[in-house]
Amino acid sequence: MQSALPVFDRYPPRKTIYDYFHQALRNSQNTLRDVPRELVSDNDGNCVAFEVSEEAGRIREVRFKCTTCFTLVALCEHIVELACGMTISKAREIDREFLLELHPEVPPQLADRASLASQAFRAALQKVTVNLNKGEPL
Amino acid sequence: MKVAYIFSTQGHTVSYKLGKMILPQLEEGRHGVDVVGMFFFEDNCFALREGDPIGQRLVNVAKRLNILLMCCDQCCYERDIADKLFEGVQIGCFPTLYQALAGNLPDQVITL
Repeated sequence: MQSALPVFDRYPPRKTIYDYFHQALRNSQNTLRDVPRELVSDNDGNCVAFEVSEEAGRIREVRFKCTTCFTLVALCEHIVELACGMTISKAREIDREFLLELHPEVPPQLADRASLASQAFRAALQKVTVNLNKGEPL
Repeated sequence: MKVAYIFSTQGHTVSYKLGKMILPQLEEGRHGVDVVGMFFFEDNCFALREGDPIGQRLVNVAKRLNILLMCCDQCCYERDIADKLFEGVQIGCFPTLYQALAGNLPDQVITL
């Protein structure tokens, strides 16, 4: 017998840009207190900096600081969620297309926020890689 | 005089003040001032969701009169309509609005 309960079209529910922005507000401990040198900016006056720490080849912690664009904050927060626990080489696959595929609700006008977030994250990954190569403590 | 409208309160803001007063006046060329932009908050954003009859008329007149139409990004994401607005309608926050209006500044901003 069919249930009379409504059928949810997406279960588990997909978290949207709106959800990730508010998650970022709740996870404010992820906010960098100091902006590292890997600050990436765009022509709209937005900028982002990520800081990535690694342990045994996997990403242990990701923190970021960015300008207060709603879409940008949400995308950065999603990167944090995605990247923790990943290997560095796998984390490099997080790019503009990947983020936009996860968030089809981002209109084309704001799609460049995904570029900015992913570029800043890759810049931070690059720094981790460099430090690993040099054998320096992170 | 150039004005920009911010549709902030709800109630009859869109259906009455915009749909029955401002929009017909703009369509008929008797509004009395040049409107350079309109910014929509909260449920007022639904007026610019594709398929809305008031929104369609507004988009048509905005194209003709070069009026900026922008919705609050947070309001649109919350209502799951950020990617469902009429073509040409932007979403953003205050910095985006100021940047978009920088080339055609209003003399007055009217909050409704």
